[in-house]
Amino acid sequence: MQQDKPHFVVRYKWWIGIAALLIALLLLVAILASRSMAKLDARIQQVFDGPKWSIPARVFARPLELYVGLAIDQASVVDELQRLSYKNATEPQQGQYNRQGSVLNLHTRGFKFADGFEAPKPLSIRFDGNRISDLSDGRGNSVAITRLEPLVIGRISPAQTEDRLLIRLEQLPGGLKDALLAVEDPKFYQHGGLSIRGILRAAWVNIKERRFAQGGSTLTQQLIKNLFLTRERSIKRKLTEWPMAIALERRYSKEEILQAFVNEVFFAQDKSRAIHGFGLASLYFFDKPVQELQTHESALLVALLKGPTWYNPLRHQERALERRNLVLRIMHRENLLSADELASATSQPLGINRTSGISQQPAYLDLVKQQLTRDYSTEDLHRNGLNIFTNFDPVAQRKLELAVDSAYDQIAIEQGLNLQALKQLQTASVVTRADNGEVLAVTGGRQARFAGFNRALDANRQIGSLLKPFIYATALEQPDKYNLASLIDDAPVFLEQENGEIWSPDNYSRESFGPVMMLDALTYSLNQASVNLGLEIGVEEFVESLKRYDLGREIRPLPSLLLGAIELSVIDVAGLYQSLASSGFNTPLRAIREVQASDGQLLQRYQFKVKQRLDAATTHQINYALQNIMRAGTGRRAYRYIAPDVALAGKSGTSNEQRDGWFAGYDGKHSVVVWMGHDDNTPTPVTGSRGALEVWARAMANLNPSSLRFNSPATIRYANINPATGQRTTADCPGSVRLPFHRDHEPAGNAADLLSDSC
Amino acid sequence: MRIFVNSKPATGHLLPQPLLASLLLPALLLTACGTKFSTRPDIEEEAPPVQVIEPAPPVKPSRPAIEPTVTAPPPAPLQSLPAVVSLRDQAASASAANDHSRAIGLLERALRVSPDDPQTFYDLASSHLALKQPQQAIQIARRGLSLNPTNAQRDSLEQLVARSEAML
Repeated sequence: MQQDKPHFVVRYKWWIGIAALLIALLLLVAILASRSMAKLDARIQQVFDGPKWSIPARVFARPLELYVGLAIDQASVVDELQRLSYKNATEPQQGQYNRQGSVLNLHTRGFKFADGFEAPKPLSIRFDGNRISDLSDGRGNSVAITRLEPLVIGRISPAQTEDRLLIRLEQLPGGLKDALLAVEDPKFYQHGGLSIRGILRAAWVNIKERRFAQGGSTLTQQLIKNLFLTRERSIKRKLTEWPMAIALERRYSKEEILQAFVNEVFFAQDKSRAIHGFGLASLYFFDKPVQELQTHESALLVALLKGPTWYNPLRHQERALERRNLVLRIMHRENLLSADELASATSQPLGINRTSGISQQPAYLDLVKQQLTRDYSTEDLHRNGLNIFTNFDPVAQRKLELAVDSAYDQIAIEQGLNLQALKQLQTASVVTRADNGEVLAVTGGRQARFAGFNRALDANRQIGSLLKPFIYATALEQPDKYNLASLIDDAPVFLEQENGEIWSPDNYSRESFGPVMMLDALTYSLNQASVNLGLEIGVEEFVESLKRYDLGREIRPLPSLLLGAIELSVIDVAGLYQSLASSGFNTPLRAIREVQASDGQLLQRYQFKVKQRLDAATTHQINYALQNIMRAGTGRRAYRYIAPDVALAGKSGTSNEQRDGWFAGYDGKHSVVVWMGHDDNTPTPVTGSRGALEVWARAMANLNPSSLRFNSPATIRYANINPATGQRTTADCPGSVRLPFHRDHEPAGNAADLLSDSC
Repeated sequence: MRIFVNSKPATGHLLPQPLLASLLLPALLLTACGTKFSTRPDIEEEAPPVQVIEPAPPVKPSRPAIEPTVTAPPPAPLQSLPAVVSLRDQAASASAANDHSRAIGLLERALRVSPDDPQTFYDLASSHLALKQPQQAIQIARRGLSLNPTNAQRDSLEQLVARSEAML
């Protein structure tokens, strides 16, 4: 019967049903695809042509400038090279060095600075003691000046973030690109975004395992997935991924797609930071730029792509090694490696080098952020891959940190204090260049590398006698009334305060010394003399004269101000003293030199600016007195560590009950400010001229001090003075002192004083 | 005469200061008994200025001599380092190409190498003037003038100040 033979449709109803469903599905896909193709294309372009990723701002130290005459020893240059992950090698290639006696040979990596490209080149540096005596390019041509690439000292990013270091395709070492394609997508240059073979293979695996286990993705699809789509594995995502991969291939070249892939791909999770792209992965795992990777290292990176967590070489060495060697064998099969190369690469260990990594400088970064937030939004800083070039000097920072550590040991011994107890005492310090205000180093606490409360920036503390030089400077600006030999009265002073109480400051020694020269009053930091001088000038006038220093706060004209009852941070004090350190010319403190966009375009320069704040004669006299403090006054202990022929200037400060100890001062190159105190503002066991000075002097000694610039300006004349009278006398009069005066206001000669036999 | 005002031992190279002591002693005697009335803890400092006083030595004063480093302008410009010359040359090329901003960057590098070369300050001030920043040009030229220039350098720096002031 006809019924015996079921109708074709009935007979194959399941198959027809499935076929119809498939056709419908395909139609749906096609309709969806064609309808949304234009939309997808626009979406792809928007992402692909713009900045594809959020890249945190990268902060760089100053580049080390190399030139004949630079005062630096060979060890310091080698240190710098090692921080930059240069490796020792007999025939230095890029990123390698070699020392032969007093000659250091290296091959720089080159760097794109804001003011031009510093090309990679071989260099031969000859040292003569602590100085570069010859610099040539290795072929015997002398080089006037060149720079090493700058060290990365940190990133500015939100807590959860992807990080990457963008590279160009041609930066990948030979073989890495081929290895990547051989392993991940052998038909990359043939397919149009999808690989039918890949899809079929994946489908087979999925059917076999009865779950959606494998994607069969081309590199193009992987890129689409990572750049545009969520990470869930679903059919829906596949349906968008395919047309997008095709659209991407239509619009962009294979090279562009591959370049995006090598920068996009995920490699590792470092706490809250996700390591993406071959550029950063190379630094992360091997501590060197991707260009310098050897075959076995390249192979490991390629090996990780299949499962960065599963094959994590930091956790699962065996697995990673096995997979790396598989990659090497594929490379050999594809004729990318000879049998010998394969054998040699396979015998290599993983070669993970995470020893140095990025040397984080939390205290300095705080200062950089503070300066940046004035000019950039948080979003720009977190997204746009800015390169921030700073004045941070790793050499100076290390010397400062060493000074802090050794000073604590010394203070504990000298003061008979328990070192552990003494370590409750906090400290913060700043080193700047004396001539231009560039901030070279910062410590924000006793433990310099500990990120946290940054006392150098955020702790405002009473500065005590650090303010005195500015009282004396205000006086000296009236040369018709005051000079260093002017006698001021170190005698008790009684002042009624707002609350009716009588304020009467003591000297540290609790003694009064009567009429003293201004020079001596400042040298020995006499409180009563200084208050009397300040009152004579007028507290209001003094406050007015402080305005030029832009301290950024309201200063109340109270007499206690004359003894430094004003709260400033270490960085504020550094700014205040900068004017004295650079001969009366203020140069604002600067942490940042330049900000560069990720494409190398210069966005902003923080220029060297100067403004004269104190006239030459006043500055000269103050710098005379501040040198006298170092020679004979409260700073003299510094010379325990510094050669006597080096001219230094400085001032100590101690606030009420020794709650704060300070020392601020400078030589010809550096200005250093140090604070010590307790976070809870309780009294400390040391004065400024014991505690803070100990750190200051050690830091200065470590920084190879050179004499202060102390040119005598045309407005200055030197004259011999009898300290008892403040009047002129003759040079051969015993006890006479030669002091600088404003040329139009030298003290009168007392007839008796000028007779040498009468003095 | 041997007077102990404060028996803190003298450290290092520090010498007794008879003169200062002779100055301070009468004052101290006059006021010593009248100074202990403060209700407020004192502010400051380190050891008092007076050391153990020995009989006055017959010769020179004990005050450390603090001498100015330079007093007369040099007859010829101090020789600049090749690095500085190279950077100034590059800056001059940049200026010639009207890229004063780049010139300023290069000159600032030159100043890092040699911070007291009046010639570099002259070039830097000129670049600022070319960028119509006369205020900055004046300040930078003044800084150059403070660095002991030769007479010729002083003249050109002063002329530059005058030109900048005319622009204000």
